[in-house]
Amino acid sequence: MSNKSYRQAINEALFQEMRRDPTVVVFGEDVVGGAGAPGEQDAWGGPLGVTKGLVGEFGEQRVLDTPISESAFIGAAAGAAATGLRPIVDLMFVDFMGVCFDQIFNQAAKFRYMFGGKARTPMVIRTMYGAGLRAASQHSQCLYSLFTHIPGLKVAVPSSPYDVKGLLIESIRDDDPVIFFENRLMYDDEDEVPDESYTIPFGEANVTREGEHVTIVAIGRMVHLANQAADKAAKDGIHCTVVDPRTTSPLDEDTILEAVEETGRIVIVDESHPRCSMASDIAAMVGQHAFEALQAPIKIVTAPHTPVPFSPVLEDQYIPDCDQIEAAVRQVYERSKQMSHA
Amino acid sequence: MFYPRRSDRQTYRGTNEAENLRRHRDCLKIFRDRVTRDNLLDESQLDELEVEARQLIDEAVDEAVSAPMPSESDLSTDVYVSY
Repeated sequence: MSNKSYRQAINEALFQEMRRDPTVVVFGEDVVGGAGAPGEQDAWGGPLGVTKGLVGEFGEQRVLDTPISESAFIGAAAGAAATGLRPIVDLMFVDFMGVCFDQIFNQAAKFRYMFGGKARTPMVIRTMYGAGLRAASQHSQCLYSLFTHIPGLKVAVPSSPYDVKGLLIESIRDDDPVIFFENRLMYDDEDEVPDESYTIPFGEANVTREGEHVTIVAIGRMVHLANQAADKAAKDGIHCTVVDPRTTSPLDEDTILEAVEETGRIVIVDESHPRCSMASDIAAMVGQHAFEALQAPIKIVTAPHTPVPFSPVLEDQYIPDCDQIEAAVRQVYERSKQMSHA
Repeated sequence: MFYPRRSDRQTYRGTNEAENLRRHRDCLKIFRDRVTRDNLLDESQLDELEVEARQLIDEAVDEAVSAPMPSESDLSTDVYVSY
């Protein structure tokens, strides 16, 4: 066990799985990361340094650079997965998935179903999501709900260095296609991460705080803001349970519903747009299955129904923040008191 | 000379690949050669256009830099024509 960054945790998971299983291969844009280039540029691991050192140990047979042709290399990954390899492909920004939707939605996601259960497609697509990079609307989206919508795909949105390692190893070993969401703003976050290999099962939420008054369900980087908001509300005696689903498909409905049964109030925090989002999905699920437990209307905290703005001033307003979450927590708490007096 | 950004050091490119492309396949140069060869425009007219374009860009940058910061209502400006 030692302190590692989110980036290092991903890198370690890749190394350990490639050592364990010779069928694991890595490809994508610039994953070789300058191996053989002069000076400090040698094997720097690509623009984000996540794949640093892989080509040195595993060679260019297992670590391949691809051209900027997502439809080709995602399609290649789906085919390689269906015929015996375990490809981990790097699709730098989730925003670029549009160019290879057919390969993901219509091919990889449906091989097993359409081939009568005879196919396995153990591929992982690693991709970045999230606003805050000053990278404007085409490099900042949180599109995990799009993939959660598609039967046949699994979706992981790890929120910590510990989770990213365990969930990535689980994703690599899983026999279905997994879309693996990494937030660029968390790459330098550090935490205790075991040196040895371990897995975190899909569909198993992590409860990061326990409190009796309000349940906060938060996705990805929003988990940190939810924890901070919970700490602030606790100073005024409002105690929150914070649930991090960790995977949106499968979704740990039981843990969310149990938390709502205990607290009677829920705030859902999702950095994506509100329409057809994880926030609205979880709200609908709670409305259907825990209506009697609710003491106040469900509240969601999301980005607005607009693209991510390029202006830094607007981008800061766009991303849900700790104050908004805390305000929502206070609102559902106050509302429940008004309702009990009515 | 072409300077790659720090976040994309382009180590995946061959030696002098980008510089060779800039020298021989630059569409701006190809355009200039073609229209002067065919006598559609002469060098001085093209230079004038370039000065105009640079001016336009400088003006746009100055205007943007001196403009007030956007307000919160600008968040939803221009998402649609109508909604």
